Amino acid sequence: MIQNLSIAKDVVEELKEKFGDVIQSEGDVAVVNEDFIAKVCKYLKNEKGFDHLSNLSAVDLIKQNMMCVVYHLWSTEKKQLIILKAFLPRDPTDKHVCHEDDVCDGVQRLPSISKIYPAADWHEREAFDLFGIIFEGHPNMKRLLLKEDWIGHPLRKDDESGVPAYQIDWKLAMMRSNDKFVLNMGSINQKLEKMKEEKEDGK
Amino acid sequence: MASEKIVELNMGPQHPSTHGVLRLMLKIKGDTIMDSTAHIGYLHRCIEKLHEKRHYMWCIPLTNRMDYVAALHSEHLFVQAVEKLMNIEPSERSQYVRVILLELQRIASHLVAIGSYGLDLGQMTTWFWCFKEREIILTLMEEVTGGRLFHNEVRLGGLKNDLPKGWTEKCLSMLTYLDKKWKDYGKFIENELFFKRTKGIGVVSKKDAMDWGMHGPSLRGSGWNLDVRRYAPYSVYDKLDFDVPVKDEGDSLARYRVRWEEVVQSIRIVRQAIKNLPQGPTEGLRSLYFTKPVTPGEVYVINEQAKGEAGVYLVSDGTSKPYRAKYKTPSFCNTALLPKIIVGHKIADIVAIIGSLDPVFGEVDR
Repeated sequence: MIQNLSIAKDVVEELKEKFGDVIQSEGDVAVVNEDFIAKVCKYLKNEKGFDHLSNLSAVDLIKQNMMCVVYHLWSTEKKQLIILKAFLPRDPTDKHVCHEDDVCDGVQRLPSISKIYPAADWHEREAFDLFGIIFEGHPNMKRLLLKEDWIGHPLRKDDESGVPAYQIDWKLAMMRSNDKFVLNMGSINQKLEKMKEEKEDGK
Repeated sequence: MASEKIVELNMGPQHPSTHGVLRLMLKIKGDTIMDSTAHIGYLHRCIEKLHEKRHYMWCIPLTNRMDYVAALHSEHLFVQAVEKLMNIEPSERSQYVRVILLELQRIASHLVAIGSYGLDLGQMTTWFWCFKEREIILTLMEEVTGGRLFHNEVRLGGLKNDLPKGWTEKCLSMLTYLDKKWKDYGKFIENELFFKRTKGIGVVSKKDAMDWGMHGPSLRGSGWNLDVRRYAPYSVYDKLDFDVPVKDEGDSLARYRVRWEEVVQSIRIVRQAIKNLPQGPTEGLRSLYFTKPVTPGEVYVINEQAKGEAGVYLVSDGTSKPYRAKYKTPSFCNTALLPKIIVGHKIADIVAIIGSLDPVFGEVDR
């Protein structure tokens, strides 16, 4: 049997009535204006019982010069799915960066839903990591899968970091490696005591 | 050292009890965890990017590498999506054979989960026993598919191989053996020491479990009666009779018990599927077919893997390669809430909690 997920079409109609121009329907999908996505999600979760965030994915539509973020919300009570889409402008370059708040200058911006659905936390970080979409209001917008000093966002269609596999901007990497990484090997206390002593001696 | 100080402790990524390459940064006061952060990505192999560079057929072996202890499930998920996209209904017999193999795979995966959970808690015997039984299942699977871990068996509209002659009898006798043994193992595993390590450890309330996005047996351990095989049936699961084990306690013990009971239910499903197995063709479309263009469009399908609900969002632009394939994997979601669960527990309990969530890092990092 081919799986048939029942889609909540009546809820899409209700959303259109409630939010007006902000929402258009494209077949089964509700296309939401990117600024209102958090509001719509909040309404769906609190009023309509869509309590389970099934999936959050991003798609790079390079031909339309757009980025698309797709939300699949599931209602465990009614056993229905609703699909929301948000289209946002696409950054012309994928070399904008990155994990420090003051350098995040991309135009691919979207309100975060991680306060409404805590499950979205890592999904949004993944979308940021691989597509460079910045979720505003996310508590911890950092790279998740790739290294912190990676340049670019590999799932964008114009990304060239695939081959050769690993390119580091060493200058940038050195700049960012100010905080030392403490690796502990062997007995904890001795090592820490020693470090503490060294630190005090240095002062 | 004075116990009021907060010390940062790094756990992993090469730690034998983190079930793979998980790195946890812990802030501890004495022996209690005050705060923690999880770092993943040590096993990231760009599986989603690789999908965009390959024909549909060539993606199937890639999906095997996600959940490497239950490879058939991810494989089935991908094929399920392409079948829905192209509106192909597989033959009756091949669907039954798929269910038999999927459930055997689920048993094998839960044996790894429970076996290594025993190892985490200091019961070495559990590990040996579970892996002994798993070996029998892997041999059975190997006779059908030719692979022990990576099967590459499911094809569009069918299967690569049909069941060999005399296989069902062998499988049934194995199930009778496992059924008997499994009850003994259950009695052995649940001893006083096991209870001390798991009861009341890592409790997740019913509301938190849904909000934080818990999946699979762990979610059912927190009182949610949710199983994709029930609420969005695929293949022939709607024709089979089985129960969904649910526990309300939400602790590590409940999560273990759900897994233990699921093995019993899987045995039940395999027996029924073998009993009702119809005759007919199982051959799928020829491999070359996959290099042809696929219907443009987008689909989202979910299935119940050994670790929980998994989904794939597949976008096709009408060429012979996927435009985008996004995998939602249950281990990814379960690992995301691990740092929240372990706060307030002792260091020794971390291992007990990780083991009860059963993450597989091939699937977390993709």
